[in-house]
Amino acid sequence: MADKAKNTWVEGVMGSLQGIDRALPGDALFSKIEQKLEAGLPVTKLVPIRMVTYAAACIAILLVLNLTLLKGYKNNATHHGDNLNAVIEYYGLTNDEGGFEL
Amino acid sequence: MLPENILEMVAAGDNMALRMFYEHYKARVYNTCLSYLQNVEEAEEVTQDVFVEVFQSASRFLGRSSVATWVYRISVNKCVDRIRYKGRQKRFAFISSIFGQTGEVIHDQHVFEHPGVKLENKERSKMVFAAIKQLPENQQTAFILRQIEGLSQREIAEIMDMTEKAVESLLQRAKANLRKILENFYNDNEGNKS
Repeated sequence: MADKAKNTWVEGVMGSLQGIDRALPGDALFSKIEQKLEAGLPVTKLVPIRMVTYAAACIAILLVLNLTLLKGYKNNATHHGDNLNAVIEYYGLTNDEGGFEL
Repeated sequence: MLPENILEMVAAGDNMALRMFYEHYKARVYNTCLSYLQNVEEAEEVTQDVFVEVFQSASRFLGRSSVATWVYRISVNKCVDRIRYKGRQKRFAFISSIFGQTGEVIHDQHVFEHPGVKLENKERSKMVFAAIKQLPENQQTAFILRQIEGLSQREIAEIMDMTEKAVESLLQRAKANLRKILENFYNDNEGNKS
């Protein structure tokens, strides 16, 4: 009997949210939001952080690629010169002034 | 009904669009915040923060979910942040009071009355709101979005980024826990009257 009364009471309390309407904020809230927006960064001039990160990453990648390619090109150029000198020396193509004869 | 490109207009800072967007979502945002925080001033503050964030990040909206889901997600996150902040403040004040500093223990025992509850349910609903506060965070979210905001389980699943099954189970646990809390209340108060 006591349990039944308790269950009825609990059901009644749980059901008290049935048909609840949405609460509405005060009329002045929108102007407060506008003030906050004006006080902060202008909405239209905001650049998304993700975009900035992508841009920074792209610049970094381009820089690294350029440096790597430049280094590789330099090494290649040195090797290429060494090989050429070795061939010139091997075939005795140099003259007295150090230039090579064709 | 909002125009399809409302977010683009909002992102461009079109005042008319901001107002339209606000009018369309104000009740949903404020009602969610009020049900969570159970305090009019705090709900208004957090509602402001929600709209400021929505307006400022409109250009970043990727369209992976509906705009309503996105707005609800921001609202829930802001409310959870506020509740956690209040929790930290209470703990800090409690510790300060132990060590004899000026901090006062903040008692948050006020009885909340939701303005949207029907007149005949006003008194009983106060107990439900008091009980909601005692639920774990994710159960509170699911319960508020379902019972007070009237969203479907699918919508809640999208907002909370979980499966519908998980939401269903959360709601069941929330109701079971609320029942337990109310039964204890009955045993302590109503039961003694009879």
